[in-house]
Amino acid sequence: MRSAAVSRIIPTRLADFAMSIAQLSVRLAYRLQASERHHRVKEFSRKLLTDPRSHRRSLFDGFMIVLVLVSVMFLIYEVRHPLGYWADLFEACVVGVFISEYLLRMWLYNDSHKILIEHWERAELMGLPFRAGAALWAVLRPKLAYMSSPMAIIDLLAILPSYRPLRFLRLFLLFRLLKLFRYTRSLGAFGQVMVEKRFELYTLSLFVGSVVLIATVAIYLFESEAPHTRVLTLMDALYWAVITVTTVGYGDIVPTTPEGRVVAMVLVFAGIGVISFATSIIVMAFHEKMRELHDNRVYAAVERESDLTIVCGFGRIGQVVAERLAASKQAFVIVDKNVESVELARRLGFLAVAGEATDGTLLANLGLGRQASSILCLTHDDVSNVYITLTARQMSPDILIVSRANKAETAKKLTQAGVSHVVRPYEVVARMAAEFIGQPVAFDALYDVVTRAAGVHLEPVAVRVGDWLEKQRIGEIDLASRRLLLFGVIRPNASPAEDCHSRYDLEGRHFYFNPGPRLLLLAGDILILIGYQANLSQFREQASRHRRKVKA
Amino acid sequence: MAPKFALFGCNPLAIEVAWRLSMTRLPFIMLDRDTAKVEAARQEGLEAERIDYTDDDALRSVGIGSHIEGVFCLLGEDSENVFLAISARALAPALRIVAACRAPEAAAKLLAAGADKVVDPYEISGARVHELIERPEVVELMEHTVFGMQDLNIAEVTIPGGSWLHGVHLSELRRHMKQNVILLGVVDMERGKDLIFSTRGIDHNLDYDDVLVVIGPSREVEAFHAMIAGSTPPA
Repeated sequence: MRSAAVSRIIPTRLADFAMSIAQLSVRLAYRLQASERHHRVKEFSRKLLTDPRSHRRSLFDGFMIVLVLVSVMFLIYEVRHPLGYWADLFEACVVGVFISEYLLRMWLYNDSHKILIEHWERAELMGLPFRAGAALWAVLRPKLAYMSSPMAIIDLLAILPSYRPLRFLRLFLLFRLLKLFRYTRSLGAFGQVMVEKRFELYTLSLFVGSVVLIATVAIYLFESEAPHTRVLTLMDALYWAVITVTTVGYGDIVPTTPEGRVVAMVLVFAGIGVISFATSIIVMAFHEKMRELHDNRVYAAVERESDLTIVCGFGRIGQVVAERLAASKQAFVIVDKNVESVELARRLGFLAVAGEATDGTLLANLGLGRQASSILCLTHDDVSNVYITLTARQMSPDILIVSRANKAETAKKLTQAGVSHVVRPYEVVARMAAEFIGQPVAFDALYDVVTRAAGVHLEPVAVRVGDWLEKQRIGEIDLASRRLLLFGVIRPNASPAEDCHSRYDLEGRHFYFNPGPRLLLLAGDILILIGYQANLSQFREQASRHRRKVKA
Repeated sequence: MAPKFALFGCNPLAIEVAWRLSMTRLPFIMLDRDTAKVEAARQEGLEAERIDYTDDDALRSVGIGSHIEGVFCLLGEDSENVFLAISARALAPALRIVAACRAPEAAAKLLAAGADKVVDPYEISGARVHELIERPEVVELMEHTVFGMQDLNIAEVTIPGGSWLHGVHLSELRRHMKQNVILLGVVDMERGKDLIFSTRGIDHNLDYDDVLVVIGPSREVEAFHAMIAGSTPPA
């Protein structure tokens, strides 16, 4: 009676125990879900190991390549020359790094706690009991899937060669070299080419296989009975067939009978076909891949920049902008759908990608929404410009967007799409041409100033809190002796207005043209000065100094 | 009123220029060889006429060599514009010719053909786009004031014969300037077309026919004009 009760209690206890373990892990899963730190650590590891654009990852990859090569060198050297204690210690460290990398990658592969939570919530929702076994299996399955992926198997096998007692494990040293595929992107591309062309390669190998088989059998039948023959076994025949079909032709085994020679001749021709076919497949695949490789390079280079301009469209306007950006040493990247334009850009030494600038993923790869601070829509097509503007504004609310509009109507649409500034080439020309007709000398002068063509610049100098300029009157600055001309002062609307000067309204700001000597400068004002570069920089330098440091 | 300016080409660029000119109330006429384009310009409400610009008599009949003061070469091809500039310059040496170019190497050819000013739409637009990234506040300011519709203009004032400014130094002129205008600089027409900026520190000796470049509201500019026209310095 009592033993029966006990035997009933024990399973329930066990079930309880299992249940409480399950509950504990679910609670843990929720904790992980909520934990900021867990999220941060995972994000850091992801950047380090898997993010293709991260700078840290390229450092990590470089470190791993060195580690693999050094460890392989040691292992090879060790075959004939015993190494000491330190080499063993190094090997132990390498294996330690490999094992932790393997585990980290497995951890990064997916989020187990999310699966657990999902199962738990589904059970709660449906009012069903939580089945710990099913949940466990759901958690383990993706991990097993990861472990059976080729790269993961290579990672695992790369750990093995350091296990001394089994000498044949030394062979796995090769797997350590295969690990290099993971860290070098160009090698990875080679593997990808093979995968992508697997249908062609499969056809090719089927063809080669049957040719070799037929040749092997034929040469064996004709030659093995002949006097002075070198083809004694089927293995000899196969070896001869492979050496001949690949057009290597060592000449250690040669057919002696006329029938055998005929087979050889046919096989040589088949070999030429096979080789050229294989070469063309691989060359073609690489040619297609080259563009992608180059683009990846550009993405990686772009990732290192912090303040980037994306130039969409490399027509004449795009070229002018690119040259100017390059001259002022600003980082930029060019997108154009025309391959020739992209090649021209590359010849000029600019970063360029061929592709549709309306493609959101392409723009994201180029840093839109992250490090891109401005985007210029300069394509010939107004429709594209509107589309790019809209995409950019959605992905990045505070990016600076400058767009070209060929038609006047487009300007309004661009404003609706969220553009910061519109440039209309025809309007700019019209304005210039019309002004020039009226006052050629004056207009040339102003144009030189605005475009800095004559060495004279029109530049803003901001007044900041604590600057020497703050609370100075215009008359006290003595601009004339500094060889500067004050065009005017821009003041935010929020600051107190002055009425004794000619005032112009800008959007949200006032512009005081040629203010008299009595205007008091406030923090937030912008002085617009005309002068030579040297005088301007001198003034700017002095203006930014702290008030107390400048002698009155 | 007889048109003073002739716009060759009835394309979007020319229509844009036409709108600018009509805003400043300058009488002009649009001309093209292509009837469809002429019709399109008429649809926009602009005065347009079909002529063959390769024919000198046709050019003369429009008024080049007589009442036309300026010609805009805005045709679609650089070669057409070069041809037009050469023809117009031959007919009227004093004509003011402005041309738009498509390819950058055409600019030199247009100048050689007799154009006074060549504007490259792409060059200018590119420069503007770059300015907008680098110094948006300056571009915005110029847009709204000098280039825009507000009353702040750039003007050139030629020193007339008999003005008190003849033989006077630039610094002295500045002392007498009470108007709310900025003196950007002066162009000495005898020495070439380069502007001597007033900030440069060269105290230029003013002369008849020197051109002063000033910026200011139109009333002030007129007052400045009146001041320098007098034969004696203002009190």
